[in-house]
Amino acid sequence: MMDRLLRINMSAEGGPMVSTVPVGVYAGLGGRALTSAVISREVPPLAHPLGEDNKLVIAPGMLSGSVAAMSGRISVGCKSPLTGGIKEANAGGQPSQVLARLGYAALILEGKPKDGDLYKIFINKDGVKITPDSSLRMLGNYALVEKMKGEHGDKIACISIGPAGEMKMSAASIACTDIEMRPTRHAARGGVGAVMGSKGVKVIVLDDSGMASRAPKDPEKFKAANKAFVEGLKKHSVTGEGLPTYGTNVLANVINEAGGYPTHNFLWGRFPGVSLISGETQAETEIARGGVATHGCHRGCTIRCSGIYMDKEGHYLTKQPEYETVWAHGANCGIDDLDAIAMLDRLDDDFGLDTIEMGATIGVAMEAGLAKFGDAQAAINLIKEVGKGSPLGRILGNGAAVTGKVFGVERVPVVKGQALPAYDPRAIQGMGVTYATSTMGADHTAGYAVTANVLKVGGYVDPLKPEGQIELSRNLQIATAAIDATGMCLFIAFAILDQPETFQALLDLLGSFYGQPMTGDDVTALGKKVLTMERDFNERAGFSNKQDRLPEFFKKEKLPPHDTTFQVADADLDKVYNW
Amino acid sequence: MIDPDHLYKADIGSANHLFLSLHDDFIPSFFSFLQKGFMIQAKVGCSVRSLLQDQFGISEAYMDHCIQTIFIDGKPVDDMDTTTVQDGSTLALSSAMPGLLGAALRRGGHYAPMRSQITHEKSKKTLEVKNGQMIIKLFNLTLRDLGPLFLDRGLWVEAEDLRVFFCKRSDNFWGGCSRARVDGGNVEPRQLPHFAWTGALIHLQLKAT
Ligand code: SF4
Repeated sequence: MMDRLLRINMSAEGGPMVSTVPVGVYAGLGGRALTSAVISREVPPLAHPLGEDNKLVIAPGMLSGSVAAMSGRISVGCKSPLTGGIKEANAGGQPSQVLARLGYAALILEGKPKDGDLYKIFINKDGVKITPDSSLRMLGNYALVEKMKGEHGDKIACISIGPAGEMKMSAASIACTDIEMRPTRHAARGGVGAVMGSKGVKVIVLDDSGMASRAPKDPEKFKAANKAFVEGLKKHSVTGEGLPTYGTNVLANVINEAGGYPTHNFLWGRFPGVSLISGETQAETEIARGGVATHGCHRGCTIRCSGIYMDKEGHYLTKQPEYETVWAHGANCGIDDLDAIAMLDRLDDDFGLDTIEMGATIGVAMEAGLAKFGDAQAAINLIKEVGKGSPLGRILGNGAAVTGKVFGVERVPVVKGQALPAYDPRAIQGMGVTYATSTMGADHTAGYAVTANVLKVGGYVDPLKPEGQIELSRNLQIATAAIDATGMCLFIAFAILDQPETFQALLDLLGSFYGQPMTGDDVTALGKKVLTMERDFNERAGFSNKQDRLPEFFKKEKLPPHDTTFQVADADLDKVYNW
Repeated sequence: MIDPDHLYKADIGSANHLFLSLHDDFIPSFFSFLQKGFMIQAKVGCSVRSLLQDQFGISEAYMDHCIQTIFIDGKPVDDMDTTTVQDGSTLALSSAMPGLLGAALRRGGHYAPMRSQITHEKSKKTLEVKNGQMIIKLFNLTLRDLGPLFLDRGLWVEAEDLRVFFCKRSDNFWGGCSRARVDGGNVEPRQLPHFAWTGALIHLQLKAT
């Protein structure tokens, strides 16, 4: 069972010290519930995010390591250098399953090395080995993973940072390897990579050889629940057909049509070149070049929203860029060239950068006149500056807010210092509520209100009107926090919100695994508990309702084509957490 | 990039007519026109359902189960029966998104009180049914399912877009084209990239072989 915490004190005299301790007060928690519980309980809220008092918590979900479908998300938590508040970022890929099978509920990096060394951590069934290795310094994630394969074989999973994390940039991500052992799945948001860099850890290599899958308490019930769950995902049109066929970028045309596709640094709600970068075009391009348009990011994913993107010559370039990435590096920067966007995705993955933050940052840089909107080569050059760590690159690598400040730009799309993702809150007001009030800074996954608003999953609310958005955002933030705790990919939300029997199957999966029946109320309670802990941490870190606001321009500048502004009143935003 | 709304402004009367027979493997290569938006002529002033069913011949089952998100002029539509299409409307159809008449949960009326304000207002006045022009956009699975039907029926696209499209086609594509006729006269398909179109629009009709 996942009943141990692996604590590694990077400050210890004589080098990093490992202790394996019982899970204790954190028993029964997983994923985001566990990372947020540890951060809120153990990290002084006023600690410097890159200082020795901050901790980096890496936790598989509650069902990770079992054979439950879709259960391979891993959560990474810390105090964020980007927002100054609590952070949970999660990723797919193989590490969640592997770490869980090794029996760890979480890996917690504490302190920071006094010697400035860079370390490799290797974990297998026999224990933990930590070695300083300066040959890893400033390696890109791709070269790093190749090196690890050479040293440990290809049955491993890696969690790593690229140069951006080593340079402690606030847009730095943590990479997780996928099924093909490529570093393509990132816990990207909030600068979690910078915190890993501050701990002096370049890579964590996981090897679960000799370990079995985690066993459920009630195997029969678990098997039946898993079957019903998979059937539910397969029969829903989004999880069974839309996402597998076109990937998350299937949203591009639809959000663009709704007038909520931020273009040219949030100046317009429609991008004329959308059909050139849509999920439909992307899938067709991938297939035509011998890539793959339906692919899972970890074993056990049945939705398989991902793919493999080849360059014009038919060589692997990157995994299928996500909707958010295509938007950030595409429409937001006026770029309608899928190959350029795929290259930017590849560079972000290699340097270890959050694609959303970097796309938003380049949009701000373009607004500042550093490059022209639509100039794909200029965007690629700017990202390369970040990888090199030039003075300009260091500014850009610290995100949109810093870049906006340095270059005197007023339209900077951030909340709590974190860039807004791919839905304009003036067209889709429910997203605005979530962006404003999320404990994480502007974060689309924190309340997938867009599903209800545009996709009409779980009820319909007119996206152009403020009424009902508070309630909607609250419920979806609670649901999201709970799903993040299970280790389930958030895309199951489409099916569980729409099909009561699929939601029940999820409850049965959890109940039969832990031997304790679970109800919808338990899920709501779990989600509320997570959000309450996170809010509490942020308050102690100095946040108030003043930070739960969108940038001023969303209230003042009308967004074409619907010419709407963000209309939800501040007093209503303050009600989101009233429960 | 050209906004599909520009299609309205071009003169339909001066459009060239292109009829192209080609192997059905190559029909999907024309889908880029369909997601961007193409123009059709239809009877307007009727409901979305009537347009799709009576004029386009789309089955009721497909409409109810597969066309799940609909936009008119960028606004989500909730009710196909009470929402009318007008001359100059842009109608976008999406299949992969749950919504409109999809899940039984919603069709059971659970969300009826929340139905679209947009369609409600429009349903108050009765519109005259007349000939008109519309822009249609097909997204995700509707491309695959309905695209061939519209291409077979014929639709208007911008001449410049089609010229650029033909210039980018491979030898393989031209090998799959068996016959082309422009304004009633035979044209060698491989000459299409260089053809001097006289109008700003082309009425494109494909025949799969
Ligand atoms: S649905 Fe997509 S993101 Fe989720 S686990 Fe599968 S491939 Fe990964």
